[in-house]
Amino acid sequence: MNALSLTHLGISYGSRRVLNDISFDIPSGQVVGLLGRNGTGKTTLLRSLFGLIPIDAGTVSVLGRDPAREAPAMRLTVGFMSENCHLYRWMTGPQLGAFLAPFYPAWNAQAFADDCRRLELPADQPVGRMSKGTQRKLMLALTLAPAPELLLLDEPLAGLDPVARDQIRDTIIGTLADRGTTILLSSQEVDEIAPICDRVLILGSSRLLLDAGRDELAQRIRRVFVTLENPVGAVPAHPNILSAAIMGSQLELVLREFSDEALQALLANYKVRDVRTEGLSLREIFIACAGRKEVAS
Amino acid sequence: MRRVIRVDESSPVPIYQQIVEEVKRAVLTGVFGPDQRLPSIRELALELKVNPNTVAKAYQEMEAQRVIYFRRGQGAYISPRSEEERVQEAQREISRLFRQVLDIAHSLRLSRTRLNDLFRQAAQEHPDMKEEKP
Repeated sequence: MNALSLTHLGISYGSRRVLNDISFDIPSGQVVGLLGRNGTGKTTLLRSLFGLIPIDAGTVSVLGRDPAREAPAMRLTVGFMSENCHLYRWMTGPQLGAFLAPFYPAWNAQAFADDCRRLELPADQPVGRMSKGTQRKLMLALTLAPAPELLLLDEPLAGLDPVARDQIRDTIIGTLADRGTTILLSSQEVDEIAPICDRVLILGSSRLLLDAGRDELAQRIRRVFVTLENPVGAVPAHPNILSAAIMGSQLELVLREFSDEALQALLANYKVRDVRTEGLSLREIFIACAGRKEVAS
Repeated sequence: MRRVIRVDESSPVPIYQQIVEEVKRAVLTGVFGPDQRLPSIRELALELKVNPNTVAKAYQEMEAQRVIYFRRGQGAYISPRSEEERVQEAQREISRLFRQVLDIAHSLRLSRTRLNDLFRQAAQEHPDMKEEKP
C-alpha cells in the first residue's frame, strides 16, 4: 500500500508556479530523501502534504486521505516536523508532552520519555530558553510521541552541531528499526541523510529532476572517462549529458539513464582509445543534477 | 565487534553491498570466527548510521550467499566453512584485486612483462611473502 500518492501536483503563490506536475508514490515503510537547492519548493511540498498549503492542481493522498479536506483526522497518524519552532515558548518539554497527549489517541508517554532521555532534553527548561538544537530535538520527540505511520521532516538536521545531528539521526534510525515508519525528509546535509534513505527525489525549479532508488543511482548515473585518439574541440551534446569537460584528448562526461548502448551512440563520431566508467556519490549526483543550467529534456 | 564493519557514505557502491563485502572480508581475515554472533539489525543500523532496511537487505544477501545463518529468535551468526572454501574465497578476493591492478596498469600503458617484474619485486620486498615455502 502507498503511504503517499501524488499525481500532477501543482502549487502557485500568486502568479508564480512553485511546484509543477509533481507525481510520485511512496510505498509504506520506505524512507525517501527530498533534495533540492534553496527555493526549489521542498518546504512547500511537505507543508502541502500536511494540509498547511492548498494545492492548485492534481491530487494528493496521504495515508489514503485528502489533506485539504481531512486534515484533522490525517494528522493523528502523520507527524510533521517543520523547520521553524512553533512550540509555546513558556512551556517545558514535559509540560508540552502533557498538553499534547490528550489530542492523540496513540500517544505513547513512555516512548516520549525515553526519546527525551536519549536526546538529553532538559526537563525544567522552557522552550524559549532552549538552544535551537535542543528545540529541534524536542520537536522530534513530540512528533514521534503519537506513533505516526508517516513522518514528514523538513530539514531535521539544519543548523545543528554534529552531536545533535547524530542524536537526531539515531532517533530516526531507532524509530525505523522499531516501527518501520514511512519517512519523507528534506535536507541539505546530503552526505548525512544519504545512508538512511531508500530512495532519493531531487527537486529543481518547480519540477522533479530525479527519482531513483539509492542502490540504483550508481548504475543510472555514471561518470565516463573517454580517451580519444586525437584531441577534440567540442563536447557531444545530449539531454542525458549532465556535465561534460575536455582536457586535450580526455573527455569526461556525467551521464544519466546510463547504458552501454547509449554511451556507444554518443561516442559514435569519435575515435575512442579507452573508456572507463564509475559511479558517483549522492553529493556529486546532486551537484550534477541541481547545479547545472536547465536543459529541456 | 566494533569498528570491524565500516561503510563509506560517499561511495557510489550501495551500502548494503559494502556491508556484505566488509563482513566477508572480516570472515576471510579471521576477525569473525565460525558461529560468531553478528550485531542485531537495529544495533548495526545505529552503529553505522544507516537505514535498518539496508542492514536487513545486507543480512538477507549474506544468508543467500551462506556467509551467515539465522537462529530463530536469536539473530545472525557466521557460517562455519571448510579450509577449501576459505582458500577459494581468498583466491576470488585476490583475483578481484588483480583485476583492479590490471585496469590501472592498462590505463598507464604498462606491459605485462613489466607488470610481472614489478609483482616479483614487490613480493621480494614484502616481509612475510619474500620466502616461498617449498
